[in-house]
Amino acid sequence: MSERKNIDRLFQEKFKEFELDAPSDSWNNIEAKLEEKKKRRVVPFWWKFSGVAALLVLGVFIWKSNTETDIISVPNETVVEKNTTKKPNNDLTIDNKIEDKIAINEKVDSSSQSEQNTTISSSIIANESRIISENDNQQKTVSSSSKRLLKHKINSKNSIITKNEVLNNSSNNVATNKNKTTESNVISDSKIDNESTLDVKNNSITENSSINKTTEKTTIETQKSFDTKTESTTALKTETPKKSNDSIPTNTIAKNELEELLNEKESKLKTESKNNRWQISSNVAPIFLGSVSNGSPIDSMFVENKKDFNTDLSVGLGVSYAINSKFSIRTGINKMRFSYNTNDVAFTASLQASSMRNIDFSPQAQMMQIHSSSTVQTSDIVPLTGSETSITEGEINQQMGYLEIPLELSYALLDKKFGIKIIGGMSTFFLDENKVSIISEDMNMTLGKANNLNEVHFSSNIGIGLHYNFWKSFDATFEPTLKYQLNTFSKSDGDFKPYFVGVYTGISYKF
Amino acid sequence: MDLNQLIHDCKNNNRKAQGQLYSLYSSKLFTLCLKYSRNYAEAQDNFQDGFIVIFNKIEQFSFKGSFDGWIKRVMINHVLQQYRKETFLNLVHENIEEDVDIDIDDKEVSMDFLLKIIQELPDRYRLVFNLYVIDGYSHQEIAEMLSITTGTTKSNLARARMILKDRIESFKNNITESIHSIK
Repeated sequence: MSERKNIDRLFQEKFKEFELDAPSDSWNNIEAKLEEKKKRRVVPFWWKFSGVAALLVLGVFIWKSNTETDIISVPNETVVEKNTTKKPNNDLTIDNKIEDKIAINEKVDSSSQSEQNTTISSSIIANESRIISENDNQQKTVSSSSKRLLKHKINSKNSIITKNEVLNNSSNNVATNKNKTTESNVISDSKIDNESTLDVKNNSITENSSINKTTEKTTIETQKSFDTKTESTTALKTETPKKSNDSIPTNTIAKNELEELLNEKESKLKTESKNNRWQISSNVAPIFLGSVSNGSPIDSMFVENKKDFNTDLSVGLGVSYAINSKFSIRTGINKMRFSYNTNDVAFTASLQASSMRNIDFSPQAQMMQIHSSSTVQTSDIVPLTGSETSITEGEINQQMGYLEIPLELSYALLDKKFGIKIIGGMSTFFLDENKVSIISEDMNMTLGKANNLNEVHFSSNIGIGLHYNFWKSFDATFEPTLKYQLNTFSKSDGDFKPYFVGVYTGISYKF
Repeated sequence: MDLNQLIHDCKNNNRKAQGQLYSLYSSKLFTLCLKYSRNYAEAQDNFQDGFIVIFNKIEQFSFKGSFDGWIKRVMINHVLQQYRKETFLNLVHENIEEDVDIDIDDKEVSMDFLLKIIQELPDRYRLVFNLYVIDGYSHQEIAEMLSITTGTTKSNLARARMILKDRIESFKNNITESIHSIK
């Protein structure tokens, strides 16, 4: 009998009880893919570490290439060193290869890696859609030609055979499907009306049989679902609800409510997670200065003198942007200062103006004559008239202050409540404080400014970041970072190559 | 076996448990894929890949809310992912006449036919129609899922209905014509 009805209703009613068995080979395909994944899981573990190794090697290379030029300038050692300096070049080509490999492999592995990663996050569902998109894209790349070929074979076969079966044959033919349960699930049009109650029964039976064990609980549940189902079907016939009920028999009305709540929560969390790519942080760090070799940026006579490196402080703000779940790029601004003392310095007030190559003396310091106490001879000293020759022992303190702008890439090894990342990059330093002073037990006098400090210099950075999510979007961070200075001095005597280790500690906020 | 226990075992990558979970949900989710995909072959592809995603993400299921809802949502999200990539020029935003009632005898149209005309809808229309009419999501939710505006989802839905109505009516006319010709 023909009746006028809304097109939505037509589809809702028709599809309500419609269920079709999945292709019989699907489980085998899925299982094969799961196996494949399991095998591959071993690999990322190693690649993670090779990634770290590559970063380290890269850092070392930058370091080496910098020291290399200096080695050549020492004539006696050239022959020996040249052999060794060739090695790093070889290393580099290998490193590049490794890096290329990593780049390729990361593509392959990231699906499983990102999954691992996502299991970590506590706002699991929040990331769902994003993760899906990532996973799916990556799975596409993972499923390389071989898999595709296989799939196509299977699919083309299927699409010819099963498509015809399902779509073109009349519904009666569906019963010829191999699986027995389809008989009850795939219902012909006429069956829908006449046998709906029977279908429900059948469905619940097949559900039970597929679980294999009918515990008391499940029987009660299916009984329940049977009741509610029949209720809802009658309700549908009398009223015209806007939205269709779920088509599975076990899905009770109560469950639908829960589902809605879940969906609501999911969408809420989803919108939150969308914006979680940015992170701002504040940090403070003790700076431990050092030099890879002896030398003095002040004057050649202090090359052999012992240097004491002071622990200074860096404070700063940072911002980072997560490119994906693994990589983020970061920058910021740090105000920092470092200083060191050159020990065993002898000085005296003198008529003869002192000259130190790399220091521009301030007017009041013109009268100081300074020597390294190991080499000083009293004959060198020309004292002021009327005063006795008095040589004071002390030390020279050199202070350098910088504004640092880092540009770094970080790679997350672990990203749960507690996280570990590898940080690599470079910093640009702008000189803003430059002071050389002489210190003894009873005096502290500014000598002047160093004239060999570059206004702008760079460093190559490598570090490890640990962070702990202690509250909501707030993380406590702890990042020991080595910053090897590349061109602090335009000229220095000996080979003074400073580096420093900053233990950056702070709080960051994700938004 | 208790469903919760089954989920726990799946979280531990127990292959047998995964198999059981699969047999529990395969027909429901495959049917869902059939409705959301362009054809049977693509439905199978989406279904298989979607199940991999489910097994990979099951660890994230925290037993809050129904598992049925969760697993369905993951599958839907996966399928949406396959089709929402397509950029879609949607210049037509006029108000389409909302006369979507149709004279129909349920027995006249087969399941296969209805499924076929849904599958043959343009991707976006198909997704919106399924999400709204079959799975009961609101326009707001659909707009968020597909990253489009509710205006667009409404217009897409109206277009989908019109197309479906046309197809059913022309199908009916063909039948009556053929009946007449037999007579």
